[in-house]
Formats: sequence, C-alpha cells, structure tokens
Amino acid sequence: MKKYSLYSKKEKVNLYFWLIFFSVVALLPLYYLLITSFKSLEEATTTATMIPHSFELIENIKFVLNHEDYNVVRMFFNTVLVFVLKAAGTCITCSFAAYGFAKFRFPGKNALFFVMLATMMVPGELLGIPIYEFMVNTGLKNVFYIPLWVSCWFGTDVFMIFMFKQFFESLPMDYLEAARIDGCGEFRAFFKIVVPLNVPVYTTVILLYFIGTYNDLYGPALYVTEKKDWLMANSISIFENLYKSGSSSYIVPWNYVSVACIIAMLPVVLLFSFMQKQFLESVTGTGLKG
Amino acid sequence: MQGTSKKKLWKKDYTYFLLFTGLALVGFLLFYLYPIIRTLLLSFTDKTIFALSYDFKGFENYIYALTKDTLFWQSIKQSFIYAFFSGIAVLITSMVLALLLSSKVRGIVFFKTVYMLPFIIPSFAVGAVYKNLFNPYNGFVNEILRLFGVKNLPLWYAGPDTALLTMIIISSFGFGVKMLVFLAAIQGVSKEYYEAAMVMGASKWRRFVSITLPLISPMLFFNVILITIDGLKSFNLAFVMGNGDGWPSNSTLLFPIYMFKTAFNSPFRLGYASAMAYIFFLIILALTGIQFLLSRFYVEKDVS
Repeated sequence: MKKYSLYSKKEKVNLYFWLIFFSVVALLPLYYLLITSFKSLEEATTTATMIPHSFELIENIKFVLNHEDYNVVRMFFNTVLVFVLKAAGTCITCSFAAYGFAKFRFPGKNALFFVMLATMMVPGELLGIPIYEFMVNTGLKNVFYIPLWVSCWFGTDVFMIFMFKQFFESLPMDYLEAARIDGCGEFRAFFKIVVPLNVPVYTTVILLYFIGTYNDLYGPALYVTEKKDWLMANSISIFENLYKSGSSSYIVPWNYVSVACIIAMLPVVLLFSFMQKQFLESVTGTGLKG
Repeated sequence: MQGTSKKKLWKKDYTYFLLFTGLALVGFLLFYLYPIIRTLLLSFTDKTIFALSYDFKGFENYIYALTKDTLFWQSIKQSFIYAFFSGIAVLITSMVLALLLSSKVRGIVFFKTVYMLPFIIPSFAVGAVYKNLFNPYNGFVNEILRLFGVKNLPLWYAGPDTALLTMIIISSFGFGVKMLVFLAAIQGVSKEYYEAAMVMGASKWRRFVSITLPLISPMLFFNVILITIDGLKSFNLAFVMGNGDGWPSNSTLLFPIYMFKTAFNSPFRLGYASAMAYIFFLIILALTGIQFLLSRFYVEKDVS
C-alpha cells in the first residue's frame, strides 16, 4: 500500500512553526528563571541579559541555603506533614461517605447528596470567616496546623465524595454479595474488596491533594505566622523582601529569588517526571468534571 | 423473602449508611451549615474579632457596600475584568495549543510535554518568576521592547494602569490543564465525520468550523463560565503580585483580596466582610444559574 502523508509540505512547515513558536513562549519564563539563578547579584539587579555574564550559581545556592530564615528542610517537611494529614483524612473519610451513599439505602439519601453537592458553590471565603473566628477564639489557630487539615477528617470535600461515589457505584454488586454470604462484615468487605479494587482513585486523590496543598497560599497566608511553622509557600517572600526597608522602593535580588523558586519547583518536577501519566490523567479527569 | 426479614434488611442498611456517612454528615453541619448561618448572622452586625460586644445593624453593611464603598465596587469590577479576560485568554491559548497537538506529525509528544512545563511552577512562585520577566527596569520583556525601539516602556505590574493587564497576561500561561481537556475532546470526535468530509472535499478550515467546533462547543461554553467563576475566586496570583494589598494603588485589588484584608487584617471587621461575602456569593450563584440553564439548553439540542 502506498504510504502518503496527511499534510502537504507547506502545511507541515506551518504546523512546526507554530509548535515551535509556542514552545519558545512556554519555555521563556523557565529559561529566564534558570539563567537569572546563574547571575551575580549585581547583574541580576541591573541588566537583562539573555545569556548570563557571570556564573555564580554555586554562590547563590550557598547564600540561599545559608540564610537564617530559609530553613528549607523544615519548610518542606512541614508542607509534607500538612499534605499527609489532609490527603489521609480525605481518602479515609470521603471514601467512607461515598461508599455509604453508593451502596446502602436510606430515606432521602439522594436529596441529601444533592444538597451537599449544591453547597460546593458557596465560596470558601464565606465559609472561612466563622472558621477563622472559631480558631482564633479557641486558640487553635497556631496549634499543629489544625485549621489547615481538620476539616479534611470530616469528609468535607464533596467533590472527592462525588468522585469516589462514581467509582463505587460501578463496582459489581456480586463481589459484595459473595462476601456477605461468606459472612464477611461490611467494613471488612470495604477494606478487603472495595479499597483494593479502587487504588487508582485513591492515587488520583493523593496527587490532587499534593498539588493543592503544595500550591496553596490562602491557608498559609491566613494561619501560618510563626517562623518555625513556615511552609514552602512562605519560602519565596524571604528573598523578595530581603532588602526591603520602610516603604520606599527597594532592590529585589532576583538571583536569590530564582534559586528559591527553582528549589520550590524540585518536588513537583520529580513527581511530574516519575508519575507523568497518572498526574495528567488525574488532572484532566477532574478538569472535565469541574 | 419474608416481609419481616426484608424489613430487617432495610434497617440494617440504614444503620450501615449512617455508620459510613455519619462523619461526613457531621462535617457537613460543622464546616458548611454552621459557617453559612454564622456568616449570615455576622453580616448584620459590626462585629470585629476581639470585640466582646457588638451591635445589630440590620442591612447597614450591605447598603454601605453597595452604595458607599468605592473600593468594594472597584474590587468587584477588577475581579470581573480579570476573570473574564484571563478566562478568554486561557481558553484561546489552550484551544489553539490543543488543535496544534491534535495534528499527527512527528514529535508531538515532546511538544505536549513542553507545553505542560509552565504547570510545574508552584502557584506561589509564579508571581516571582513573572515579576522577574516583566520587571520594568531590567526585565526581559522590556529589554526586548527596547530592542524594537519602544520609547515609553510600560511599567507592567508596577504601574496602576498596567498591573491588571500584566496579571491577565501571566494567567494566560496557565493553559496546561485546559489544553489537555480540549485535546481529549477533540480526539474524542469520531474519525468518521472527518473521513466523510474529506471524501466530499472539505478544506481543513471548513472541517474545523463545521465539525470540530460544533461538536466541542457545548464543552467550550461550559468551560468559559467555569473559568470565569474560578477567576472570580482567584487569590494566589493577585496576592503575590499586589503584595497582599492590591499594590500599586489598589489596581490589583481583586475581590477575594479585599475581603481577606477586611476580615483578617487589623481591625478584623468580620461583620462587614461577611456582608461582602454574601454579595459575592449571590453573584456566583447567579452565574452558576446561567450556566445551568444554558447547559440544559445544550443538552436538549444534543438529543434532538
């Protein structure tokens, strides 16, 4: 059979031109970030060179890592701690709730679920005011990041319940019937049959929560004040405000800021390169729905 | 099965339902229902966080926000401008990229990865990365403009007139996820349509306008409103770009930032912030209502 191309030569050139054009646009910020991290303080704050004239990457990294406020290991593990508490809570409580909704009868259950879904429209800002008030009044505001993760242990992520429910409903009833006949309790059946069959859903939730927690700025801006509690989200502003004094204009040491940005990117880069497929599937899967 | 044992089975079902979902139902009361009611009550008062006593003010907060507070209107206006234009920008960029990626040429997987790369910058770092790029004094963008002989170099994020525009440009780099969603939709269009069109000699553009666009337009439309609602709620970028208070001269003050400032910065005016939150909620509710109606219209059209 004769092999023929889908595109004419002119079309192909056109196509590649635009593909490459947008690649340059997409890569430009990252490229500029990278080369700024190579520059000396003087070059980074005075000239916009496309190829750095000074190569002080090692010195910049040393400066950043040695800065007294920039305790990167601590900030990273603080972030991981918050992430684990949030993701674990959501995986456990939301899948429990979803299983209840998917497999058991209860009067008005569907109406109840609809009401819960509808409240997702209420903006977080509105819900946040009384919760902030409560956390300040009870003194829990600065205790072990409680305001950031406690709601996750009460199955409050309705969207995740919805997602779990979709998957649990498609689970064949036969498995569960068989388990029941064998005298297996409902909770045992849940952990022995339902959870193992839905590992990809749990992976999706964990990945989404990692992105969500790592990127979150609202929570840390509101609840994280003590230096020892800082999360990765607090790490950039240390260097942005390094030479800030009073209200007058000040120099931003872009070379140090860039190094801090690159360090903050590393966990995401690692995750992205090892789990690209699951990563993209999780993100698009939920992007389609909401 | 006998009537009694059936009844027993139902009862067992009820118990298990409550055992499994009980915690989530409690959570719903604590983290949704209570805050919704509490915020409504607060919105009629002048409560600040540390005040022990406060007065009932009726609709005063609402009236003040809607008639006197110019900053409130400015923040709402800016939120809408930002949400709408960044929504359109993201939509166009992600649609164009999805179309490019749907072509069958060599190396397409490589380009797909490249287009996803801006996505790996954590959103708390996005502000710093682009501030460096758009820096009015020695940033890359102005350096390029200078090469092209532009005299009055824009101040970008540092100028009150251009700060919001800069934010919109930056947000249009956030095409990654939507691009993949659109790509999936385009690739979901059945090949047979295209083959039929090719047999009839339809051009590439014609095929796009007559086949691809109509078939994916419901989803496209859905996404415009979704992105707009998301944009109205967006906080991170404006918080970083405006140093948390809408700098310069309130030009990046989006509504969530203004509310954040009112409620959680001194003097912690919870009452007034609650009223603003409710007005904001009503706006989002209206938009969601429109989206719901329009999506029904589209579904019916699909069936017929």
